[in-house]
Amino acid sequence: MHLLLSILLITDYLAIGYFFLVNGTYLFLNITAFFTLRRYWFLQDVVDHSRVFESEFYKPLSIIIPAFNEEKTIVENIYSALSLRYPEFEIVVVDDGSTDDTMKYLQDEFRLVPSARSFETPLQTSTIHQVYDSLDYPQLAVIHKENGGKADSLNAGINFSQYPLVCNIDADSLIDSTALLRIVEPFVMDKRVVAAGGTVRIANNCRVKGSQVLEVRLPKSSWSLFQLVEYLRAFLFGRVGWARLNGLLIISGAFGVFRRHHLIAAGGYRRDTVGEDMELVLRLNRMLKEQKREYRVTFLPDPVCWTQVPEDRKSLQRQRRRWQRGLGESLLMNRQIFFNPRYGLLGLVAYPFFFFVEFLGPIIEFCGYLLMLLTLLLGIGSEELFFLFFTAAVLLGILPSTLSLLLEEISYRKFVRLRDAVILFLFAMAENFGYRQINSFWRLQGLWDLLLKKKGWGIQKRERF
Amino acid sequence: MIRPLLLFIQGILLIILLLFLLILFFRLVYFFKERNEARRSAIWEPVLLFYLHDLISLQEAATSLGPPYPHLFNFLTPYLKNIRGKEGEKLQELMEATGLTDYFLKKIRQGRLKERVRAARVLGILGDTRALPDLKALLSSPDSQVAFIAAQALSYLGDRNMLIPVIRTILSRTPTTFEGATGLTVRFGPEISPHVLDLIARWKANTLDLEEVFGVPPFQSLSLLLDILGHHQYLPGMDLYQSLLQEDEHPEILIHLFKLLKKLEYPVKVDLKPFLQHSDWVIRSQASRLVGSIQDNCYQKELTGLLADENWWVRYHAGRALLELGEETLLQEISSSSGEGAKMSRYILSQEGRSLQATGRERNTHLEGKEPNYSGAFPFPADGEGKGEAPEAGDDLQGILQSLAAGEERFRHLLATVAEWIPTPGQRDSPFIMTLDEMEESRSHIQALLEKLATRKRSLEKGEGEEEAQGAGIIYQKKLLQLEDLLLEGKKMAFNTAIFAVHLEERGRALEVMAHSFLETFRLLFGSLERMEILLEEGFFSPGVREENLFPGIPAIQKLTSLLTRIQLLFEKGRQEHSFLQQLLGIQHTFSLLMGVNQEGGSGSVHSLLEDLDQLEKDLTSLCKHPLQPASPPWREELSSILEELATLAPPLLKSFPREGRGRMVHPFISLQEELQVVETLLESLVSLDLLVRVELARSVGSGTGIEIGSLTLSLKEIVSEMMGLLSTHQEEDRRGSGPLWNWRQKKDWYNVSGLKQDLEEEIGQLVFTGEELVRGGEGSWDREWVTREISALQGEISGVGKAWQRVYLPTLKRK
Repeated sequence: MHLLLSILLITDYLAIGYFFLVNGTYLFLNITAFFTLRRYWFLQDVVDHSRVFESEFYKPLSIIIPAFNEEKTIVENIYSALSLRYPEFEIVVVDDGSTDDTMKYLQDEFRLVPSARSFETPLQTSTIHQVYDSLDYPQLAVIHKENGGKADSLNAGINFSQYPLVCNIDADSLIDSTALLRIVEPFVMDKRVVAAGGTVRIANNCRVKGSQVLEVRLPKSSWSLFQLVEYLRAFLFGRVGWARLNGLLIISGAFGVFRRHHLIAAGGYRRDTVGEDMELVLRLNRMLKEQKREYRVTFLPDPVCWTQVPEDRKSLQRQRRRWQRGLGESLLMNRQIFFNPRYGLLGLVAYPFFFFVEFLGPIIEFCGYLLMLLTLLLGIGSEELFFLFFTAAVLLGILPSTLSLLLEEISYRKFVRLRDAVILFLFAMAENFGYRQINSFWRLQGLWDLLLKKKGWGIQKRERF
Repeated sequence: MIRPLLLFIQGILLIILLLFLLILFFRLVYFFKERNEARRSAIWEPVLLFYLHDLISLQEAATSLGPPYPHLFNFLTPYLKNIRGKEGEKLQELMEATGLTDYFLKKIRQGRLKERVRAARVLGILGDTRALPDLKALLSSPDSQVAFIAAQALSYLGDRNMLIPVIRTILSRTPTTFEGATGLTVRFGPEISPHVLDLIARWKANTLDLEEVFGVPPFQSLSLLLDILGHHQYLPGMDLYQSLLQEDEHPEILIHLFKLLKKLEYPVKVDLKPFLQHSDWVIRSQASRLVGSIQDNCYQKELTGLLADENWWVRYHAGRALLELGEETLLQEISSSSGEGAKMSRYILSQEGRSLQATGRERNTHLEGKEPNYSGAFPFPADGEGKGEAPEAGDDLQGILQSLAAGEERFRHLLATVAEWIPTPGQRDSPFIMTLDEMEESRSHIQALLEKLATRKRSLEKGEGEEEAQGAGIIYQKKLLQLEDLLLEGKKMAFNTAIFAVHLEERGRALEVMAHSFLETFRLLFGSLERMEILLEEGFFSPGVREENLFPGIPAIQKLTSLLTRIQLLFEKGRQEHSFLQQLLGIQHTFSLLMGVNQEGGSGSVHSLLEDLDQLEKDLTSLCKHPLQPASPPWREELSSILEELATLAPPLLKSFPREGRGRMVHPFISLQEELQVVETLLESLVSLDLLVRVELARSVGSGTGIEIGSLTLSLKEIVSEMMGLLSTHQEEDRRGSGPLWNWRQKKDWYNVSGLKQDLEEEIGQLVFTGEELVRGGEGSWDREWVTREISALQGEISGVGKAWQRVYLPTLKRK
């Protein structure tokens, strides 16, 4: 009994240590992000983006939009891409054997005709049925292929693209008109940059006109509001902070730019994972480190991509389970990085953090809850202490969210109404009572799916913008 | 344990509350800041406009505009970017008088690092050379981003002596990419080219160590220098470039040399075969591009071989080069063969909308079993295949039915033919139109046969027995039903395709007119501003002279006259070669026109001058490329120096005008968005017209009209802004695919836009005329009432444009 109690106590202390380490890291990332953002805003202020337009020295870019059963959003999405301000770009839409009317919508809307374009296929993909050009938009091409998954579609798009930079965007997303100019800038200004990601924001309930988000409004459903707080936290300080430390492990599949030759050299996206975006970044890191190259994977907070998030519990649960599975697959596929000093901060800090906090986090969190209860039941710790510890945990959960809201307030201020700021703050607090725990449970289910080697994406609901 | 935890909780709680209060605080701060800025701008804007129109003095304006300077600079930035010439100078004077320039000079010297960097950028934009020593200091900052911003500001200033330090900093101390470095250094301007060429020449003569000067391996700096020369299309270095091509082997240098030579589009004496067979694929592809751009037809065999190169880009550029050399037939032949270059040849031909041969179409490895339908591949029916006349119908029932069957077959064939056809850009005179005619003819033929069948049925009913008539009636009804759908389908297709054909013609024509009218309006409106800028840039006359006469054009004509004289001398020297002489005659003719137009003087002469210079530039380039040109003509050096002079004279004159290159209009398949952009530009010029009228008014009526004119002109601006807003909304809707314009297009009667264009043209013409009248009337006698009346009329005119705009748009908006 005595031994058991000792073990419980030690575990409790370990849990507390873990708890402070995690929150301490978040706080550190927040501070890093704050200074990085400040510098970024300043530089944005003194660098004239319109110059990119006037210069012949920009890099042309291929936008790849993989689409599977996206009949509700694909047209709007392509118009959003067509209206982007950028000197020279092509759009490659890859229809991954949709079973709905995605192809029909594309054909009707963009007057597609079979293309004679010749291209090489350095990356293996499923069979391509036909390639089309648009009569209305010379810069638009559509690949109609056999279903092979998102990664396979992206690889087909990479094969087909002809420009040195490749930008991947999701078919259910809209891109701000100046986002491309901003996200490509690091590729011109810094030769070390190999990949760049942009912020993803939530488009639910926003007013969209001309395929551009004109007015940012708060989503109506509570599930979306919780996700909004999460997104702000993840993008405004998480990714900014990690990128500053050169430890960014993920560039969102919804909006990222890469050098095409790197993608080909790395073998493109892996088709056997649902976390293909993260897996690719990890593999790129490995490849470049092995080549002993100095490189940067950068993140820019203001090139914005607007996406739709699940509005109902079931869809959200599916998404989170998939994300967790994808995270696990990506980390395990690149386990060579784990605590490997050869990868610097990436191997010693970023990867282990993602492994222990993001990947194993749900297990540790649930074990923590169980142990605390057990400790309480066995009468080792006082109820008061338990309550205080829980309160501290909740408050520490609220703190990064509030900091993100503050960062949003002093930077982009997308939510113009005072009411919005108050609602967001309330949801940042409420998130810790129920939503966070449910989310952890879904992630736990994701881990279970990983153990069962479950494959596939599941059904995804889409709404018109 | 509990107490520290409690304290910890309290602390965190306090921080959270504090953060929330901070959120509210920042919201308030931004609210008041934005409100104050809006208020200040509302006060500053009329002051600035009145000052620019000479309605108030510099001193009065400077007193009204003042700190906070960062906001003042933000307010003035759009004006700084857009206003040139006399108004631009006045703006600079105003900035001096308000203390803005001194403020930033002080900041760059004494401010915090951020303030210094911001000031560096501002002073660079202002072009204030007093900032030079401070910018130099910032250039050596250990922070690479600060150094970059300083380099940027220095490049704006364009000081030749700063080129080396700037390049050295950018290449050796910042992570800037090559594109970024070139983009920055070309801002020094074309005047830097001789200096750059000199650096390369000295390096080549081993009197300069580039590595020591720039701190990076020579191939890096040399590549950058070559890019600068390429950007400015600096021709005088041609001999040096060619000798570098012969002697240097570094792949990077060769690549940049090829890029430079391609931009020059000047004949190259060096044998390019080794480069077309180079082991580096980038060099092979760049050499192919060069051959295509200079249209040197000595390398046809090598290019044909490169069509089967292992690298896609080499194959592609070799194919393009062959096409540019006019080897379309060769490409056709290769495309129909089973050779390795067939695939790329077909792609190149299809890209150009050229007709492909029926056999050997491109087959992608992924497309096995699927026969792609190539754009441009018009499957025109072979002779006698479904194309021959239907047999003449006899009067008997059997004969009519036979003819009907033949007619139906033919019609179906034509229908299938049309359905297979895929329109491509540039196919204006397609056999497709002929097939449509044939289809219409076939349809009429079937109709006639059906009528014949009906007549036969009626005649049977009348005289030849009821039973047979009933049989004929059933056959008739059956046939009619059977053919009705087919005819309807044909009709639909013919209708759609006919409209499409009309679009081909009409869109192209309309766009030409629109583009033309845009150019004309543009030139008219910006003429006065442009000539000031141009002549100032060229240093043709002093500001004092400018005050007396807006555009005497004399110095420009004098300069051009001297060039003409020199060209005439060349003409004498070069007349041995007949076709060469013809080209010279062409140039002489251009000059004669130039002289004729410019001697008249007046405001209309600038655009003629620009056009003529453009033509001249083209003629001279073409002259230099002429195959009959002697290898080393005695006058070559002189011609080079003339070209050099023209190189410095022409670009600033021509830079404001749309030229071929990226983003050019694709004729006639320009998208609606692009068409609207043309209209938008037209409207933008209307805004400028408003400005021009205001400037002219202010000039003619003197300073005293004050607020009245100010408010009236501002309301004109508002009307125009509203129109612009309406256009933007429609354009956005159109992009989204839901607006009235989009609906028009869906209904195939979108071409109502041409009505808008005509209305706009008329209204603008009237507006210009009224403006001129107004100015003329105001010059002689100062009559306040008359001016007010005329301005009201002018306001009405602009409203007219708005109404014209609405006439076209509102009905569809209501429908929507």
